[in-house]
Amino acid sequence: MMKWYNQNIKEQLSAYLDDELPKHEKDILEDKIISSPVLQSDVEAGRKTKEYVSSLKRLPEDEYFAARLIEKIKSEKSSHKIFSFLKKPVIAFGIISISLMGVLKFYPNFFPSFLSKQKSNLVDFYTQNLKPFIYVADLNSEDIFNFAFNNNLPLNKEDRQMLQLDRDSNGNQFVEVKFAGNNANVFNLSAFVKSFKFNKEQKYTVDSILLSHSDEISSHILVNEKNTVAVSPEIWNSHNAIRSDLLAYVASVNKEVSDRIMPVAFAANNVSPVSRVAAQGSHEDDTYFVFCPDTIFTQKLHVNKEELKNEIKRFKKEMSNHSDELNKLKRFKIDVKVFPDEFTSSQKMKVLIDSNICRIQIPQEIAMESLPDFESINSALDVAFDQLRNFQFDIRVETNESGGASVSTDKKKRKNVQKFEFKVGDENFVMPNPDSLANFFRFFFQDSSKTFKFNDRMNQDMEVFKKEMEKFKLDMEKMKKELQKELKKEAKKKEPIEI
Amino acid sequence: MEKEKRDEPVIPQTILTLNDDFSLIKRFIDGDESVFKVLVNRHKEKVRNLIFVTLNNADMIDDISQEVFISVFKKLDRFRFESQFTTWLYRITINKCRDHLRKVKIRSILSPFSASEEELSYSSSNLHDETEIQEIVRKAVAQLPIKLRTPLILKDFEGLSYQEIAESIGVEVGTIKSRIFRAREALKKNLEPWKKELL
Repeated sequence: MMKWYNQNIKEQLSAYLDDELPKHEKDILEDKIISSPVLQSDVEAGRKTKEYVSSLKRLPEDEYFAARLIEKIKSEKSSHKIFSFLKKPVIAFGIISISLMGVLKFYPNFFPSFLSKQKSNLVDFYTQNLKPFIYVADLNSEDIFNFAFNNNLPLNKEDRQMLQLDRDSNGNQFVEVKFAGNNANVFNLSAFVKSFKFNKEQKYTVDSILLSHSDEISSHILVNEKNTVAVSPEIWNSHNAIRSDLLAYVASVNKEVSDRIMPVAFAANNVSPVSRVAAQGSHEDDTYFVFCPDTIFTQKLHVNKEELKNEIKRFKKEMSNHSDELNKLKRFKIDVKVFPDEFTSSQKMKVLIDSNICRIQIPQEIAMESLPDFESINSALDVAFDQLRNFQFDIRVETNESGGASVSTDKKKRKNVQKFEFKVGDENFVMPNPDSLANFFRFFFQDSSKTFKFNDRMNQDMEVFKKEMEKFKLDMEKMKKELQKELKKEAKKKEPIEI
Repeated sequence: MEKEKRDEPVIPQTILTLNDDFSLIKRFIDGDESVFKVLVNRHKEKVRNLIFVTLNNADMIDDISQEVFISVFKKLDRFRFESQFTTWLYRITINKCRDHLRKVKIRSILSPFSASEEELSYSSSNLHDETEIQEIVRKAVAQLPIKLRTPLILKDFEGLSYQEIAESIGVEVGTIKSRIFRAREALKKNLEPWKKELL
């Protein structure tokens, strides 16, 4: 009640300050104000608030406002006059329909040719000034290794944009441009080198094998300043060529490992020719998958591969000779011709666009057309690389102070594990005790290179447990025998009664 | 004949001078579009200032003022001479400001990373000159809900009576009285950090 009264008085005070109270209400309120210091301070505060708002500075006068406005009204009026007849929907609809009928009657191919022209313009726009990938990125051996092994190639390292080659669950090849997550490639070049215990010289050889494919990769990926990325399906051949070269080298260095990872009937000498066949299989007129900001399409592009390779060589030479890199980049030119009427809209192409992925499933007729019987070699390469991936896991079994054992891959350590969980490739394994773990590795790697050490306390505990279990087993057997004896005695006592 | 009489503008029985709003509007209706510029020049500053104080955004003043007067130009022949031209003009201005605020709100929902409303950032020890006080008060007013902000500005900044404000906004006089009171209370609250210096 009191609150309502106070609010009512304050509302009256606000109206009093605005001189909006009727005479008799004003007189009553003034009497109250005179007798109340609280109301007096309220009036004072209200007056100040009112004053602050009323004394807010005005804008300086805009002398030309009216002139600008009149001009705007005039321009609006003129456009309004021209199209005023279109304001009536019936008339507008009628005019549009008649014009459309006229166009279709005299030029039946108007819309198809119009659409075709628009498409052609779009293709021209996005395929202008395409340059080899090396123009924007200098691939290092790690990048090329990741491309071969993890199927991804960084397009823009700053934005974590990458090109991914892979197969879906049905085995169809696809190429996608995507943004990489924060997960680094698990099996990288250093892990590879570490797995095979390559020395310095061997590491250098691996690097040079990888870098020898750099130009080839560059020629299969074309880019321009409009964020267009054109990818030739032949990049799959390069991908396999790098893998086969790496496998051939591993086989030549370490026969034992090679025998273990290569599938049956896939000798090391079968591997090397893949690289040669892949290198030979390049055409001049290639169908490229073009990823651009507006759309994705396939387009035949004429690229003179020889000229391109020479340009890349020249470009690299200039880059190494001159410090002024930017000027050289500007001078770098390669002639890429677009086949104007051959954008391959007729080709069936599955496209998947997600928030951070643009994927094209490569049509069967394009995939691997340059390499006869490549599929069988390729699947064998996949098997070999999967085994290679498994091979690299460095699993350590360590014991800790409390007597438990831990299994770790890399540097991760687990304390007080009761069972041994680990991952090899895509498979998860759970081993109930150290013996089964050791047997597993002996079976899996066919050698005893992995040794497992447990501390004395652990061994003692295990021994005690084993003895207790044996004792328990003996006790149980003894009990069983006694029980059987008892049962026989009972059976003899209770002989059946003949009737 | 009777219909024609009804359509004729009802002009109050006052002596019209050449520069009177009503006489200018009548001339405009009669086809003399040149008087529109006079009308604009008479009221443009009121409109511009009202937009500025209501939105506290100097960038939008010109665009919204133009929208207001273009709207006036299109609708002036339908003006009914039942209220002051300024009341009608204020109503259009307020509606345009509300439209703009609505658009800003929708935009802020659709783009959550756009800059949020400006905070009152001066510390009380900063309040040295008049410009800073003006800025504080302007921002404090801009933080009021539009329902309370408009009547307060029309009263304290434009000096309109409760009746005129009620006509401009289209609500009862009693509502205006209550809203102005609530606006002042909210403004006091917004200015609380500077109570010592300001109030």
